[in-house]
Amino acid sequence: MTEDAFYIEQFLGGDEKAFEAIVRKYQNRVLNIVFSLIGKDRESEDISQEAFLKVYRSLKGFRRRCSFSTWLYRIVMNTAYDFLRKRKDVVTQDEALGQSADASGGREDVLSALLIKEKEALIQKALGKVPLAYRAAVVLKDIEGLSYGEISKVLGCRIGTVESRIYRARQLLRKELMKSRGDVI
Amino acid sequence: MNACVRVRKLLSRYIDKEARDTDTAFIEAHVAGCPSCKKELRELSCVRELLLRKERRALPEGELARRMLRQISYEKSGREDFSMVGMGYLARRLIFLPAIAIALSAAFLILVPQQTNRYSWEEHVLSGDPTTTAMALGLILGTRV
Repeated sequence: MTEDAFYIEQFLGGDEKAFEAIVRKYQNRVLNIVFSLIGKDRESEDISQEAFLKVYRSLKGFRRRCSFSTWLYRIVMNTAYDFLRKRKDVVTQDEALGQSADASGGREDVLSALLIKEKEALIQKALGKVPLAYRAAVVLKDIEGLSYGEISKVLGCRIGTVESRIYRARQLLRKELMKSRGDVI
Repeated sequence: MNACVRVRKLLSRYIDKEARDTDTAFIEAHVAGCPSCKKELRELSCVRELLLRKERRALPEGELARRMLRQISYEKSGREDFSMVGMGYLARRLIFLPAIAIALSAAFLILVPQQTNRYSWEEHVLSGDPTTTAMALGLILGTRV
């Protein structure tokens, strides 16, 4: 029995603490997927929380036709899609830079930290310009490290489609990053 | 199929180290002699590398679980408050009675001393008249009796 399956059994048996263990295990993975899709810190945390709440409410209905993580990521993607559909916005450079500036600080070399943060912001901005279907595929691949097979299960499409979406996403990212005059690439 | 087109189709899998051995051999042989595909491979690998090294967000250990539990308990308590919906018609009507009673009591406390505002407390004590409840209230509220 896998660790996830164990916790699920415990939770379904009435142990609420087991669900906390699941959230603890996946919280940062989910947060990073959502942040890469949305590009906003606070909203990403809210969406991650909402996704886990959906999982909490519907875990009894989990049929185990796929792994728990695949099912979880599917819920996460759908929750993020719903948010983007409602908001229809993308990350602006200023916002991304603002978030980065908040995160920076301390006594490190401020200039070099800022350059790194600026690069991060440019990458996030470029991701925001990639159409959602392509962005989702490349985020699951390069941010979460899923295999092509797993991505096809999460997104509900063929592996060939996943391949072409990742290829197209990287091409578009290159184009966007090149616009920033080679600062990033 | 044109060799370049075939290589581009397989390039993502190759970059992600998920290509079959035969495809890997084909791509490497082609790229060695094709500057255009070589450039494509180098640039897309670079994009992948940037994403792999992209800064990761991290919340404090157990933070989302804590927030979730708060949200769940809030929703549960909300549901209990909402159980008023299931009350009978009469009960829902009567629930406003205490509020009405409080409002009437407040009005009484304010109005009664004003109506008995005839003379000062000192005058009342000197007169030797009996002290009524309204007069006592007037004393407490600091008004004339």
